[in-house]
Amino acid sequence: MSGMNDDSLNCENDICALPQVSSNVQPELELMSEDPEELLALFEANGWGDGLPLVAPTEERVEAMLAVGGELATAPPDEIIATLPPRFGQATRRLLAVNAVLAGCPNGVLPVITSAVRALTHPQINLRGVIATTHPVVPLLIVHGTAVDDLGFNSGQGTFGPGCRANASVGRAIRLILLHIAGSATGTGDASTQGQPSKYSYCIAENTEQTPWESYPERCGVSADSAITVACGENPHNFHDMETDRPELILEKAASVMMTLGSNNGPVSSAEFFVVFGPEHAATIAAAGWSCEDIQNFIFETARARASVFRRHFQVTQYADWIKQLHDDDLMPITDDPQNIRILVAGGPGKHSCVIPSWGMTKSVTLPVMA
Amino acid sequence: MKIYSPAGSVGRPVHGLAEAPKPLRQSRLVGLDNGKPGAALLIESAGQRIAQISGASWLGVRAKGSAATPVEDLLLSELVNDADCVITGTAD
Repeated sequence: MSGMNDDSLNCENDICALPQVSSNVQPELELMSEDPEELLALFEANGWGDGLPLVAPTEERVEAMLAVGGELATAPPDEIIATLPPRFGQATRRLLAVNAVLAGCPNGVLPVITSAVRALTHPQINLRGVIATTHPVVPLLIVHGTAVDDLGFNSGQGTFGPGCRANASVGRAIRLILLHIAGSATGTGDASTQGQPSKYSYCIAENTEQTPWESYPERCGVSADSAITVACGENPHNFHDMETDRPELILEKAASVMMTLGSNNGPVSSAEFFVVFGPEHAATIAAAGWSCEDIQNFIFETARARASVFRRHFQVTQYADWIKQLHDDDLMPITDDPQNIRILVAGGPGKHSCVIPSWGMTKSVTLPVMA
Repeated sequence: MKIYSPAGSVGRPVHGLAEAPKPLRQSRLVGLDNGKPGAALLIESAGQRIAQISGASWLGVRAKGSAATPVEDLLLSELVNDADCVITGTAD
């Protein structure tokens, strides 16, 4: 698992260790018709929803969402998968299915959603902080492996954008789960000053076919046919290079995007960045013989500014001890470990890539897709 | 047509607010810096003023590790032991 240490694997005191079964929940809300306006009004009146139209979570639809083949078909629907702060709502498979239906998910995606919710409970995600901060951070869900094609996720052109039901609705389902179960409604749970568009939906897929290196889960030590990564961050910050065949020039652009002083990562040296390469940039870099480790090390050495610049901008900081020892004229890295620079390939044709800064006090988690 | 509620049940009892403090005279007042810029200065100033007008003892400001994480267990137990009333802030 990405960046995890032994302590972070210990869930003894954490919200992920709750082997309980919730009481069998029944459909209890009454609608007079199938009119989407009535459903929307009901949700608005209860402070639920994201403001967009919803699919009514009838018993039939929820049962269909739960009733996929294999292992999940026999998994207890009312087992508590997680308890999600700040509301400490109990997330059962059935409740996850309810929110998947509301979001418009196709049947079959529930294991991806369940696995993402499991990932959200890992201590290093710091879900309570992610939800409660004034920063616009939001969980990005990345789908890897055979689930991408099997469930119809788009890992290619426009992977961050609209047009693919799986990307759009699964990302939205995660958001609805956080709104409804975790209690992340704007104002009462989510203090984000401005919010960001990805608070509606934020789900992409790894373009494994065009990844010239090992897949992302393999590099994280996760061996599974399908996996998910949850990484809490800002919207993507694009960078382009239409001309070069030199990896350094592409990576210097990534580094310059990472070096923005407006990022929350500036005062937190342990912060992660995802560098998501379009396949063409990845191919150019790999053709020159660069490994992912080479990329991480180059960006780590390049995304720097004089320590005095950071010190002028930030008085309240969380820096590693060795960074605190730097002299004002020393070049200080924006992040304190090359491993904090996470390399992924996604998207389609074109010479664009992006950087996703995190919020600082959060680390990504990669898990196998499981019931 | 019946549908499910999307929110489900709550796994931990929600703690209500503590009983309203008695008059602060002779009580021990401590500040908790939430880690945001300027918070310590604001809380120190507010704490001193409240102590001055209420007759409480102002014991100064303690700081938690990060604005982004909950107060540490050790500090929480110190606050419970050392203070009758804690002044802190939220958000930025």
